[in-house]
Amino acid sequence: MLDIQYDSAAGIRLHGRFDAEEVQNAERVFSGVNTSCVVDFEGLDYISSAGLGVLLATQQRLSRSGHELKLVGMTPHVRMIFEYAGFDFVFDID
Amino acid sequence: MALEESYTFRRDVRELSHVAGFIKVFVAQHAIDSDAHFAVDLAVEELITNMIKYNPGGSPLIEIGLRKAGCQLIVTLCESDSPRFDPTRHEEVDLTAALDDRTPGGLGLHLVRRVVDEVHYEYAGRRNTIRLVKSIQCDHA
Repeated sequence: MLDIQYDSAAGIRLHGRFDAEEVQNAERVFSGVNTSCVVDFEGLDYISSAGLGVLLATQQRLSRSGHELKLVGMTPHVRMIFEYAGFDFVFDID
Repeated sequence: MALEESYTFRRDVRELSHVAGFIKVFVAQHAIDSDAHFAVDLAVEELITNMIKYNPGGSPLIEIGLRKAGCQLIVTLCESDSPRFDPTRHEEVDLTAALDDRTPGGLGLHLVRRVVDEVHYEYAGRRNTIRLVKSIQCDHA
């Protein structure tokens, strides 16, 4: 299960599993982001290509207005998936 | 617990959490390392979502089997009475494309090939069988 907390000042915090079952839940939150935003991955144990797809679509939409997502606090497993997907070239990851 | 377990589930993305739970119990009971757990968890989800999305005529039920054999974890995904679905045949993903040129298509099967050691496919008697092999940490290697 994925828990998402969004605060326009503090950004987005992810907790749990970001899998295909959670895409609609996540899309509802990420579609409300219209400016640069920090996404805290510290509590996220797992992400699949379905989760990557939500983040990619958001990053593409934001980039058209000069904004971007900044991703922080990834566990080694989640970071590995971003690297395998080549997403470390299209996201600012700290 | 036996070294081999299986679980049958409906062809529905809402079953993913149950499948993940089945894997979690198996790896805990066999003290399988977290790297292998993560890899198999991911590969299984990617394959199931591809089966659902790209082989809609497949069986309403899918069976997953897990087997610990020495220093390997072997996963099988089977669906009977189904059209052919071969996950080993897919186009390569361009990992260097610019942001606007990226699409999530094909990424799942690319990740499967990255995280497990072997991917095998067999189609016989209208039955798709996908077999994954993942090395696990093993004291007796």
